[in-house]
Amino acid sequence: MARPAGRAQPAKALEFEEFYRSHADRLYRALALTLGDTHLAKEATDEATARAYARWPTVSRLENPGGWAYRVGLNWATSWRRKVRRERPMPPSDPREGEPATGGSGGVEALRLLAALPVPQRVVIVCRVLLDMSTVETARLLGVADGTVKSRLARGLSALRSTLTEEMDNGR
Amino acid sequence: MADDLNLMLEDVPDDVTALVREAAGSMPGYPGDLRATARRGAAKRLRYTGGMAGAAAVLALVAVAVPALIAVNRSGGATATPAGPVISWPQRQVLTMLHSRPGGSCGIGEVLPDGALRWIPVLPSVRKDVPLICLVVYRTQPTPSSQVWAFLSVVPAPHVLPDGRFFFAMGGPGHEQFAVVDADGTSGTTHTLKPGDSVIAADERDAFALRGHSVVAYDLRTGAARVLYSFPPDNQLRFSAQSDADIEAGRLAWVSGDCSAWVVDARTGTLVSHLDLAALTPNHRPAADTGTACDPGVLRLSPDGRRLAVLYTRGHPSAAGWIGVFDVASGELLGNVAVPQTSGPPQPMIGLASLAWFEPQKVRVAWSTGVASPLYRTYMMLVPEPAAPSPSPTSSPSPGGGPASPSAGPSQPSGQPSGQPSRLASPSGG
Repeated sequence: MARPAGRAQPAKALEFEEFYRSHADRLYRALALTLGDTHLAKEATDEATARAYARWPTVSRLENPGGWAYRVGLNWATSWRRKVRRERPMPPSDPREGEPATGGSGGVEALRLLAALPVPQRVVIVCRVLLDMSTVETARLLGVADGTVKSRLARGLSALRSTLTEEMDNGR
Repeated sequence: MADDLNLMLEDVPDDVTALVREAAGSMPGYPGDLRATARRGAAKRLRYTGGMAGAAAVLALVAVAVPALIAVNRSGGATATPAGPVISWPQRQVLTMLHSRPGGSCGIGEVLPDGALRWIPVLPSVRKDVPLICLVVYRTQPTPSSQVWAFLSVVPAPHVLPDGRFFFAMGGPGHEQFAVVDADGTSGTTHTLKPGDSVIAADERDAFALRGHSVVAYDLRTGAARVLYSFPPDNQLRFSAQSDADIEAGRLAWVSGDCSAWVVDARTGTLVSHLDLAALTPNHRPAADTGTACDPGVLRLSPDGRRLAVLYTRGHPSAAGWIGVFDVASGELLGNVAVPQTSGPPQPMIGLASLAWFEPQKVRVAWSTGVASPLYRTYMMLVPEPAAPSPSPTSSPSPGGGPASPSAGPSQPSGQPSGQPSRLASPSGG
């Protein structure tokens, strides 16, 4: 005879809703900064959150479900770009593609500076700053060594600072 | 050099942090919505589980077909394989509808998948000889007059039979009847139960009734009764007078007086599962085993018979009701959510409510408010999947795609209980 477990599982559906409400917007912004394309970021966020929903009992037990969703979205977008490039050669991507519809010139300028960085450096900066992840967590999420994350972070930050300094010197 | 060392120590300069946050904040917010995500996620889950089920089906087909082909070749004949049950989603959802205004009609309402209501005024089609009143009463309450018949809508709730006909119970003094009404509600037949019998559910062939410790089948066409099986007198398989019952995928489920749900094979009485419903309201376990203190009043098996949804209200005045969902095989409580209370006076949700499995991961409750406007309400619950075994360092889902974990899918093949079911019933008179 199958006896009841006698313990209540948390309401997973409500848990997912809470996750969605607290993470989806941040995930979208993080992907948009990384990809430099708000339309693709929207699709990637849709895909990542849908996969999180489909596997929520497992995803919810992960240490960082938001980081997992970011990685899912990033991988999906990367695969999509590769596929499109294979099937239909694209012109070099415009870093300002999908420009923000709102925001002042400062935001646009910040986007331009970030878009000038190589994607791997953008990824670690976004993980550190927007997703509040340590280098260890970032390395684990991306499946690379800690040292790799640190060096990408250092190069990316250095490039950003030098650009900022240059522009301040030029009075921009 | 100093800057490089600083950066290697993971510090992100404030100006860079501000730059990144400014860039992120300058974009419009995420335009997605939770409902669309849930729909898309549910479709993905179906594909994952369908893919796994498909692979299992292929393996099973190979395992069955190869020996069968060998047998056919040896005997020179052909073998016929009986078709399995057809499992369809969503379940049809019907509930008792009534108007409180004088002269108002009552009958069965079907809540369609899009939320619209289909009204089925069944009562004139089944009783033309005596006045009818539309009451929602528990079986334990007396009907008011020997010349008036009541529409017993609570036990059991109206059902849609697999062939599309409607089934419900009616009652008069000293008698109980069940009615089967055609799909359009225009014609129907009634049969009277033997005194003391209580009809609880029906499938396409029979109405199932309890007679003491026996389950009796009443032929829907002729009304003839036969005992299917009996339970030992000491196993407390009693039926709660205020609770519902259901049949799906050949499984019969009902709530007993000790606040537990029993799931048995409807035709043989073989025990499938015994679920402790008191786990839903741990602070309100009935003090006495009276058969009336157990709150869960509406239940519904999923079309594959693997999950059981239960609607209850006790102890939660802030909610209109609560829905608990159990995995039948393991007894695990998969989810337990509140149905938000609506504005206005509290509505008698239990007794006028029904549950239906909308998708494998969605259960919808609908309840008649008993007034003209709003006539009914609905609420959708998302059902989590059964919990997977404890995670291991290598069990994280692959971010690149593919199922998160094999354990996240269904733990049992469709319609199959786990383990070896024990047989508590001894057939008699079937």
